[in-house]
Amino acid sequence: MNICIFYCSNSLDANALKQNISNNEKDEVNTVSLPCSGKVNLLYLLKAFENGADGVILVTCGQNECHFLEGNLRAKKRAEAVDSMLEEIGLGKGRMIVIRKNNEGIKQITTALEQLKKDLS
Amino acid sequence: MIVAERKTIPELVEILNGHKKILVLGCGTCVTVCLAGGEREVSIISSALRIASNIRKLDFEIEELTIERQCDNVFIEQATEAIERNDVVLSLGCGAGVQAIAERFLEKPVYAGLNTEFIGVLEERGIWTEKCAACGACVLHQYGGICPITRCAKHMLNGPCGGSREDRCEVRPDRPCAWQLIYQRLKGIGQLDRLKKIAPPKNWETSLDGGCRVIIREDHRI
Amino acid sequence: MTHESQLAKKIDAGDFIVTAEFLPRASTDISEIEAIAASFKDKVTAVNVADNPHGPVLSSLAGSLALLKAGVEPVYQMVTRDRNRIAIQSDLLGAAALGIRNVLCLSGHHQTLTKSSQSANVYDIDSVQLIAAVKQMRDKGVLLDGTKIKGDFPVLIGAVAGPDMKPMELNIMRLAKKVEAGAGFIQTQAVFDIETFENWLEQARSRELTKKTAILPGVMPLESAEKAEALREKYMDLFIPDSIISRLKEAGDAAAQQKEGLAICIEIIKKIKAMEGVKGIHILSGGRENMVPEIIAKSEL
Repeated sequence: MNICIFYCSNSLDANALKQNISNNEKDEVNTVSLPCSGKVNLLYLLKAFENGADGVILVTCGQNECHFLEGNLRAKKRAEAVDSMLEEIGLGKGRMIVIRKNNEGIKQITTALEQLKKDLS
Repeated sequence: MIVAERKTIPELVEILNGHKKILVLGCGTCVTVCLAGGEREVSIISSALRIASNIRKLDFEIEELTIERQCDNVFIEQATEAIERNDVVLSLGCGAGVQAIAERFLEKPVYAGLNTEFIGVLEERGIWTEKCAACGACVLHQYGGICPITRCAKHMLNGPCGGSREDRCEVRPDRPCAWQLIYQRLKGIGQLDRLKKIAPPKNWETSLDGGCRVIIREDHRI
Repeated sequence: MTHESQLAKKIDAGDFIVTAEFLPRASTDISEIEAIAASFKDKVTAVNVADNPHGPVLSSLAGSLALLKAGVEPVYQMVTRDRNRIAIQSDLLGAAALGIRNVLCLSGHHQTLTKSSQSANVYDIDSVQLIAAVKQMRDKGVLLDGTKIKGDFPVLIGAVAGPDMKPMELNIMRLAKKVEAGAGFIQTQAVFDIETFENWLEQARSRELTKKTAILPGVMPLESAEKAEALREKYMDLFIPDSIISRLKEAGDAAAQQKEGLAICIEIIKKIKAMEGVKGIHILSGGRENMVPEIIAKSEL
């Protein structure tokens, strides 16, 4: 399983993320740091799928916490557009997940990752 | 500007099925501004087609290129080599762009990747609305700058129709009644009297009804 | 075959007029029209034949001719949605040649509101332009392109108004334009809100429009609360107040609601028929032509 995590660098600590995500023979998880989740566009996300990702997680900051005011809102809309485009393409819905950061820290991400792997397997 | 929307991926796959080397050709003018067929959309649609090709084993080889204007010889020339080294062109230009390319490359299948929708404006971010039907004989001066031919679903020149509501058109609940807008606008600029005169039947000869149109400007020809 | 519009004669004489609406069906069975004609005969001055209001049905020209043959004077309805000026004038010449003497000019429900929503539309001319075209054919004896018409074209021209359409200034402006263009009578959309109708009529009176044209307010028997809600949801030209819907609901079961719908219709007729400027009543059957004789009898028209 190949999963790609795009995350807002203001919301997640890159080292903590890498430490908590293990790659093994079965699974490959790549992470992409963004200055703001609003930096993603449809192409970033689609390219991940084009290059072999089975699923993509986009981590945004919490509501009203975006350093750039509305980057997290835009990110969510774009992820939704990608999700429906993937359905058009024939991959079905549910491969593009958006997580809005809460207080659980890195656990929130690892839980979502495991859930996505489960959903896609 | 001309406003367009992309066709769905299944439609594009259906159109391209059986071809191998595909040039996805964008246009840098109207369709770039309306976010349908510019450089970015060329990349997005190409990426989507590659994924679809992988899933369905269609063997697409996709090249991407965007030129400034697909409706202009000078720019079309810049795409010549790319067009020639591919089997087919999927044009993300408007209907004019697609035809301009097709007419200049007689041996090459050229397909439309977009549905050309209308001549309109960007109302606000992400919302485009139709404003002009290109009837060839503009009547906007009589209607406070609001086109009854384009914006009234019945093209009424002596409107409104009975289905007019202050907040919506009978046909489209999400659109205002053009005649309510015309009334408010003419009232606002003190020209309500214009509405009291009966507008005679329109001469549609100048529109598409008169046949496909051409403009010849002798002062621009040698 | 009559050679003069009885409707025009009655308008001139100041008689109280009753017209009713007939909606042709997707049918080739002429006996259906004959039965409707028989039930309307001598009860109404003229019968409107709708022009494909909800999708394709027997043409209003054929329906009008069938009524005429059965001894009932038709009001031939013509919408500008489906025909260009060539077809419109051609049909009008045919209608006049075959004895039709009343034409009601409308733009028609937009095709997307009919069962044939995928159809293209025409809208070469609008309803006001149609009125003016018919007037020109009648009074000047020429077609829109200047061709002279051989023979008379003696038709009475009607148009439609909607008392509930807002704002009132625009509404009256539209009415005035239709009257100026040549509408000899005006049939209105179904009236449910008496107060609004009274206000509209007062505006028409104050501009002397009621002297220049015969106003025939429309009334419509509602079948049930559910159907009434669906109608007003779909057709923006139909204004049915919540109070009417509640009255229908409170009436009870289907039969009781239908009875209540009829009672409301009769009440409205009784209230509006004596208003100054009202020259008659137009009963919009909405396809329930069998209700018409009962409405006429019970409202003492």
